Amino acid sequence: MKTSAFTLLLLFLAAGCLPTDTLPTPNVGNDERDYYIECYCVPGEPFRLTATRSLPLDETLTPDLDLPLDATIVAGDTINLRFDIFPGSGRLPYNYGSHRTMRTDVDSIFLRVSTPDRREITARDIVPAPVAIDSVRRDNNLVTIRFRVSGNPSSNYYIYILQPLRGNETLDAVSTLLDYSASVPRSVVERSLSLPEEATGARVILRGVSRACYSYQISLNEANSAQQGSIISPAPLAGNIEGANGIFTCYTEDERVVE
Amino acid sequence: MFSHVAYREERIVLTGDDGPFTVVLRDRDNRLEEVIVTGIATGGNARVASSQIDRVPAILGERDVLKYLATLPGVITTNPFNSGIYVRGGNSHENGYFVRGMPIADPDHLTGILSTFDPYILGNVTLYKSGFPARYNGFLSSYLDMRPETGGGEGREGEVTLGLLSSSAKAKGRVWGGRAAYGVSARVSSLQPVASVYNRKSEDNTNMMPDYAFQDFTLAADVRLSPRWRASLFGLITFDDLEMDAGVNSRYHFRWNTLSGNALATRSGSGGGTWTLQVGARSAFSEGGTSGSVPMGGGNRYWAQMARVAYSQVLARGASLQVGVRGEHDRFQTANREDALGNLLFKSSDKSFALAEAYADATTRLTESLELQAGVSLQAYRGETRATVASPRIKITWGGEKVAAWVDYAKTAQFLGLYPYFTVKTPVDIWYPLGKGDKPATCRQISAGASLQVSEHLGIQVGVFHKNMQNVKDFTRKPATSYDAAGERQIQGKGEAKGMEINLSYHQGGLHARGNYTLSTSTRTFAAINDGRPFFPPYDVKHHVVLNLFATLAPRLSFTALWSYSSGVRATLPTGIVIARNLADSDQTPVIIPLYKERYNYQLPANHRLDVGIDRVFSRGPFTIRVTVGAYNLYNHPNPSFIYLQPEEADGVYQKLVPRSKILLPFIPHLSIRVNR
Repeated sequence: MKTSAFTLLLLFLAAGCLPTDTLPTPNVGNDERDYYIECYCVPGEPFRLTATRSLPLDETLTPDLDLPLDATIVAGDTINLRFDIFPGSGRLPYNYGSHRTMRTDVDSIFLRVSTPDRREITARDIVPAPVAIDSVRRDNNLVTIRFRVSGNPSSNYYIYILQPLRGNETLDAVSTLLDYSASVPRSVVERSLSLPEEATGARVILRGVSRACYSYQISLNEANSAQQGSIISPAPLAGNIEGANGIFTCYTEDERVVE
Repeated sequence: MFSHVAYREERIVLTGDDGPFTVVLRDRDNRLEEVIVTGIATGGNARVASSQIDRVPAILGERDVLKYLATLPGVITTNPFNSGIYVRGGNSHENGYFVRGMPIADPDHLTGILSTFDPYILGNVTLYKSGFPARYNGFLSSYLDMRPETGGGEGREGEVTLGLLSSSAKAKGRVWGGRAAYGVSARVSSLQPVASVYNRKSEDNTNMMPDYAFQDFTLAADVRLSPRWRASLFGLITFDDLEMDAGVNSRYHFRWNTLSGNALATRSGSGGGTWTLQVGARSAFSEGGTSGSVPMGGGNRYWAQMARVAYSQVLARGASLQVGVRGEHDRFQTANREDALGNLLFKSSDKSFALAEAYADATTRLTESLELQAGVSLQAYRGETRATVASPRIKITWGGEKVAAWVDYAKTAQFLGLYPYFTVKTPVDIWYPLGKGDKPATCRQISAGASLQVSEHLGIQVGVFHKNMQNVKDFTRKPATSYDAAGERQIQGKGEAKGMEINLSYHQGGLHARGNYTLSTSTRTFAAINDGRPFFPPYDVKHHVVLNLFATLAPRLSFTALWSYSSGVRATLPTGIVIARNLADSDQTPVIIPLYKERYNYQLPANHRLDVGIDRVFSRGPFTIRVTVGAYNLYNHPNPSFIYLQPEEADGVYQKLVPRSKILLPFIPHLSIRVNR
């Protein structure tokens, strides 16, 4: 039902190339610059973290990565993160990282950050169970994955991503967030997404996420929708970090390619 | 000479030897062109007849009761998206909609352009803004009581309309030897053909123009069972369906419907007393599902059964007494809904309450010109929590020949909150009763006013009001992850509204003009919103001006115009921006994410527009054809319907976010045709 907001919005966006008008720049929130921390740990991968401060509405959309902090992650071992620039996706690099990789035998992770203004920022989350796609089936444009949910219902949250391909070209990905917390533990489930007509194949990615991460992804989605129209009730970001906005979590992943 | 008011005078000269004789009296043609009865308004309420609704331009060709009410002082609508009205700084779900004194479901078709109340039958309305009689309680802000209009004269009449938004067939008449009168109306939307044409042009096989359809059916009947017994029936059923295919993985389907009905029997005694027995029911249902990036589905259902017994007695010297008891049982469910794989997508909530109410109203004349009305409503609520509320009412009215003045006090109580999916009221919003430990919302309103008939044609009314609200309800925001029902997020706070209204009306011959101005301010305070600071809710409109002109240019030609102005309402803008990675994307592409730490921190520009319409009536045999040509927002003012933030780009790189507004209803010409027989 929540997404009816998006429907309504689309209704009127589409309903006829509605005229638009520029409004005066608001004078809101310019004196508040919250810490924003984002860290997605992946078992077997090196640690990466981004720490920035929120940007006022009237400033250039470039995050300030020059933010020296003391950042430590405990994931079986204690990892002191190094303040440096580490390549990331798009134009958003990470500004903290370590060459050490995350152990695969831990079930929870912790973060502690000390800021120059003596604020303590902490977070913790579970490590989701490893995910494995049992099978991928393509019927015309419908791509169906089949996988077994974990034995722990409270962590049975997933993201199914379908990355369409046309030859060597990558098309816009589609995804769906899945809540199987009410499903029978260890049961086998199926989920389908459709490929666009022009796709010749696809990368199929399944990510196992924690409940905190699932909530956060939905809140990102809602915040993004609210930005598109003020009739949509804005919701705060549902992060799991004490003392800052953002997310500190872990995900597991499996990937297939379907022709 | 033989004369009678209804017959022509007959003169017969008697010659002296006339025996018994017969005098045939011939009908006198007593029909008048128009009779205008004027009275001095005694404030706090507004009585509306369907002829008045005809005097404002029909929005997109649709006559609508609520849209007319929004041209009265103290009543506003905020946005074409919004299906509600706001009265004297109250929220839209704080208005009670009644038919013959019994609550009915809220009037929600999609957006606020057209309500479910067809003025063909429900064009006779009394809106109470203050000084409420004790029989009205259960809503904080206002009461809108409609008296269905059934067939009045001899024979039958019918009407067929063809409009931009809807088409309809309607009829009224008398049967059973004139002892029973009925009115029926059926309306269907005309939007589907527009959507199908638009979507046929879509290159990617999506139907970005939603396939929206609605129907509503209204039935009313009055029956005179005997000289003492009368019965009335009313029923209103609405259906709405909204479907959209926004892409291969983004399909949406929503539907909602309402059902309202009541039956009333009255028995008039020989001593001026009348017994009233009434039973009724109302129900609202909505459900929806989407297969978008966050697959969700859910629904909610609400239904109530109600009964009322009342006795009214006219006493000597203009005094009267009305007492009654009411009972209702309400149930609210948010549905368990599963997806194709049996996954629970929406946690259920099942709540109910019973409400018993006793009320008494007494009116007496203290002097020739001074009238006192006093009443009290006692309510006992039994649900997850228990509450008892006493709501006293008092109104003193002084009436002279050309001047009237009044002052009133009324306490009202409300036991329901409405969880809004959006920042405006929509049909899929969910009603929630009081939760554990919640207290009923109450409003204490003091209102005063005066009315002056300056001349035969010109009248002025002024009024002031102050409302103090306690335990009003709102909801905290958090992502819709389906872990809980929204009722668990209901919060309580305070509210205050105050303002003044002035209304001028001028009627002479075929010219009817009126103008009104409302100055008001409304604030709400919740500990969990904006750090407990008072805020202006998105229905706080400081200045509201309406100018309305209706002129009969020729016997079958009329012109109407309406100009309205209202201050901009508050919207919510983020207080900051962060750049986040999107884990739902294969490459975790960065996305711009707004941070919302407070609500209603940005005031939109003022709204104003001019609507005009020309009505021409033709006669073709037994048919009367009324053609209405009009224009909405004639000078095409860019009234913002909502705002959004658009990233400003330079050299392919986002620079900053710029607030922009979308204008849902620019200049729109329209045509509608009504055929009467």
